[in-house]
Amino acid sequence: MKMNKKARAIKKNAGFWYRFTRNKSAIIGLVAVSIVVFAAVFANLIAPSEDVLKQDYSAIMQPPSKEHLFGTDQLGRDLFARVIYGSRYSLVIGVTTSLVALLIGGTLGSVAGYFGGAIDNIIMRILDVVISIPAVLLALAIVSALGASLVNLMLALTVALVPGVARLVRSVILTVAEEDYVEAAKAYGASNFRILLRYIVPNAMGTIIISTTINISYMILSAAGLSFIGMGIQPPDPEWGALLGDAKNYMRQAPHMLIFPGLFILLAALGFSLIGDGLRDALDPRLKD
Amino acid sequence: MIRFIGKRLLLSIPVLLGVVFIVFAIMSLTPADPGSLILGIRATPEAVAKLNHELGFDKPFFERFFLYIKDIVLHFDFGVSYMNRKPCLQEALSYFPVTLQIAALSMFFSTVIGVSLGVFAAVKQYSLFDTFFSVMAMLFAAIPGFWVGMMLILIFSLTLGLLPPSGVASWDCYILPTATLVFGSSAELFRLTRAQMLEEIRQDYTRTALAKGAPNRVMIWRHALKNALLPVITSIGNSFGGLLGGAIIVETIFGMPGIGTYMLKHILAKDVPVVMTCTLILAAMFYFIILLVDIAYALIDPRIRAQYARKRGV
Repeated sequence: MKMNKKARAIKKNAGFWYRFTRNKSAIIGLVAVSIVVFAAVFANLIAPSEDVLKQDYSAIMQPPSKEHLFGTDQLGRDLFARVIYGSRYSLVIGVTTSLVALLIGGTLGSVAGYFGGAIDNIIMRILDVVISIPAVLLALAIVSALGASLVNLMLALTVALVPGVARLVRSVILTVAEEDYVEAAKAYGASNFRILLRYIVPNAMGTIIISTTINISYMILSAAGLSFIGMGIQPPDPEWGALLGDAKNYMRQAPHMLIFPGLFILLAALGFSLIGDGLRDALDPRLKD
Repeated sequence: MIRFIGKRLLLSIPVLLGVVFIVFAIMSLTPADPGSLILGIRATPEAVAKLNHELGFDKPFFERFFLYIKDIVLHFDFGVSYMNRKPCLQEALSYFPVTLQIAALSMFFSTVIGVSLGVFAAVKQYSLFDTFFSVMAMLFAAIPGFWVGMMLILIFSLTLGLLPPSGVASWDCYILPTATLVFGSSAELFRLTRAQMLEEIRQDYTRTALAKGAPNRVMIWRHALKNALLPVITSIGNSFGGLLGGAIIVETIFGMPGIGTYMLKHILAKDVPVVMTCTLILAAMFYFIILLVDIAYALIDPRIRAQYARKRGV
């Protein structure tokens, strides 16, 4: 019985990898994310860290050249170094906020979905209220109260993301909880905790992983948007949105300042959402067109 | 049906009160007190304390909250700005039309473009048309809107000189801001419509319709689209929240005097009453759009209609 289950699991996983790696857009996503992760991890090998802040007034707003691959900004800083180091901010923000929101939202959602009744009602009604404030607006309100900084930005984005995650997890749990094997586990007297962790969560995992991957992309975009309007990472820190906020003021003189940070945001956001789509198609072939 | 609408309207009271509470709680985390913000750094501590007392800022949190709610409900008074001592609501509302216009125009165009292209792509699955727009939708869903906005300014205003880069002086000032938001949100609607249509086209009832001799065109527009649209309608409502948030950012790029520009200016000055009022107006707007969409949904979906019809009968 146990062997059989294991063998089935392996077969299912093999199919999953096969389907995932055969999916062209998923591979493109994987490559895009790898580039960004590589840039973030090896930033100090790719560009000297002092270049991020080093100002050079003799080379202000230079277009891309051999010395400055992406050109320089209004203070003569090397944009290549700034964009490369910027990937650290976007990745950390995107991944951390999505995972923390998953932890909080996932707990709330599974408790609400599994226990139902009054607990469900209380949790979901509170979340209904939070969700009726547009996410960007909620994040903006939190940052404006606490002050703009990396930690506050991450806190704000997490709070804005939690209700959506909780709703999704709850709906997945509700579907899984109706399966026969959950009924069977209840019948032989497994504890609630065991049923939730052992049977429901693993079976709900697929959908949850997909949405978390897509959330990373969404969080990277939101963080960039808030930093762009000055409500996130503050200059001189080289977050991509903040770089674009600088570029806005010099659009006429230095259009190159606009192009590269934007392309990297696109690369990261597109990468994660393509991986998310690829995972969905691979985990559940029925959903594929 | 009236029961349904009445129930939803009644439900909006606790939700909106909850929204006010959350926003009030968030804004009360602001580490500064109104007295020192209004009087500036040179004011004496006594004067600051006196003003804080007059404004009721020294009262406990819940008492302040209930006073705030009372002023809103009884007098429609959202407080006065710390910056210029004007009533927040009137001033915020004067900036509101620009934001609403951008959001509404974007909602309209992204629905028209996203849904129609989505239907065509699904009908001609795997065609060049489908592949092209699917790839474009993928891209535009991942491009930050504000970047699109700046690229549009760069191309159409600074390089080609076709459209104004900022302001609200004439109608063509709205083209670029609207386009900026439409790219992202029509991409999402396109993907959802396409996926829904593909699912419906494969259903048995569409095959039955074809077998009964209905032309393909009728099957697609009358049978499949009607069912495919239900989730799309919900998504249109939800996307309005994103469009309002997007409008805030877009306004700052195009220098438009909307609620976003107004709000940002006051955020930097820690002008809590103004930020709170703007947040509440936008949240309430979003809530009522969702409400309208839900009602529209109930009107369209015979299942929900029937549910309420039955209840009335009992």
